[in-house]
Amino acid sequence: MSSDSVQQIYREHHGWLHGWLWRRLGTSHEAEDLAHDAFVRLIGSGEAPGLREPRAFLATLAHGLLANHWRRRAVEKAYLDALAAQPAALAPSPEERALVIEALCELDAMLDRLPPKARQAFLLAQLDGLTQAEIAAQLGVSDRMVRKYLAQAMLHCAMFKAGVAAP
Amino acid sequence: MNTFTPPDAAQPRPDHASLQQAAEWFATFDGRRPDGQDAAPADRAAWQRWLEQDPRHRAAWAHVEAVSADFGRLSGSGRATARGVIRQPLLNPARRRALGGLGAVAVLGAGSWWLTRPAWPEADATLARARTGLGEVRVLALADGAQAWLNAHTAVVVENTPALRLLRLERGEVFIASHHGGDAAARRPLVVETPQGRVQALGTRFSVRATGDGQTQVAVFDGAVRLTPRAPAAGAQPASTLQAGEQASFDAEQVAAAGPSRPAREAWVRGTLIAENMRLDEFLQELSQHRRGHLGCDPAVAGLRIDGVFPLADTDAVLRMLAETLPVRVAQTTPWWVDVGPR
Repeated sequence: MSSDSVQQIYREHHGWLHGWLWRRLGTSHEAEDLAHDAFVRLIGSGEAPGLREPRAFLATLAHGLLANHWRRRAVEKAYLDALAAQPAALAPSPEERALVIEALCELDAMLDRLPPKARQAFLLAQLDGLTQAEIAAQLGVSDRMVRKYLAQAMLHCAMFKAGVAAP
Repeated sequence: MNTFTPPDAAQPRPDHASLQQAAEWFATFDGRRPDGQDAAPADRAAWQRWLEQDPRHRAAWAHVEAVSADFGRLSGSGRATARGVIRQPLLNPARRRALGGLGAVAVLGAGSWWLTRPAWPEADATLARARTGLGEVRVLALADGAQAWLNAHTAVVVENTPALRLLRLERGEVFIASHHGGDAAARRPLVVETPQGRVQALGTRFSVRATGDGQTQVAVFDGAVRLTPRAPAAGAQPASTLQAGEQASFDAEQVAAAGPSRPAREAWVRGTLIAENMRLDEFLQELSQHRRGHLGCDPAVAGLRIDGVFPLADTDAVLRMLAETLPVRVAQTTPWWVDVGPR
């Protein structure tokens, strides 16, 4: 992997990428962070030497980073809003908050695209420790349906963690 | 305090079929631990056969446990708020608006107070539930200045009325520190209730434990408590007083004779497991509350006795200590599947 090609791409296109991201993010600082991440991904991809349209490639990388960024912002905002509603005496430390947000983002990614009913049933089981009978009562469905939801949700999440795609 | 270890890179990658089966097994056990006491023996045996059938089965189960561990990371002080957040499908703003925001998940039917329950009960909550998960030890502030520590895998319901501070222990163990002296008369009585009866604090530090065999075990370290079985047998005393340094069990009908209070029943509050001539199987049972995965004890070594002070936060270190000091072999098939047996 030639670092020359990356350096050249950086020289020629970094400024453009930064501006592109700045328009979408609103601050130069955030744009710089994501531009940096995009170049890290570029290096990792090994594609730099052969690129004919480096801007298109960089934009594709940046789109993915932007999606993650917005997702993470949504998680942070929801969590901080919830914290704000609580008494200040119970507020977690900044380190604690960072760990929680990290955990939330991973859970959010893992639960992404899980159908809503399966997600509801799974959260009642995993977060509240409800039994299947209790969940069935809450959701107004049969025990069998809840069992099906839980198996479905766990399969979805376990596949995500194992990096296994559906056959 | 979660010492969960992620799936081993050296393990085979599970295939889709194994993951599907593992997910079915997860649903079969309905939140119970497969190797725990409340799992049906037939299910447990079938599950163990399935695990041994193919290395990909174990690998798949490891990922199932990893998923639950991810949820476990949302336990702990300050994080319960986060649990409300994850209920919202965040990337669908329309749906979020329809659900009415945090906590008011109308789809699931309002009216059940535990759906909109507070993250961790306020000291003067009228009615609230608190739960700890694997490896969690948390303190709950009670009304009038008392404190309750919840050991791992514990569930309590707090009920405060003008006349009484009541803590119902549904499972696990609590350690109470109430104040004594001063204007004790001005404070409402503090009572821990289990299916077997009531334990009233008389200015004291004590532990109440649901031992899972239809008994409640109480150990007193300071002051005294009054034990009242729910349905005293004819001729048995309606209530007994237990003093500092004493420990006793009771069922719904009567209180068994008292013995000395074991320091282990106080030490977990500080993150320590103290063993004084404790049986190995009991020791591993306590340790397993603070460790993800399977921790098995071969009957051949179950009766070995242990002494010592062990850190609950580092169960791997504790297992290594066991292997060094006892004639046992700690077999770790995967990082979270451990069997202790004869050397």
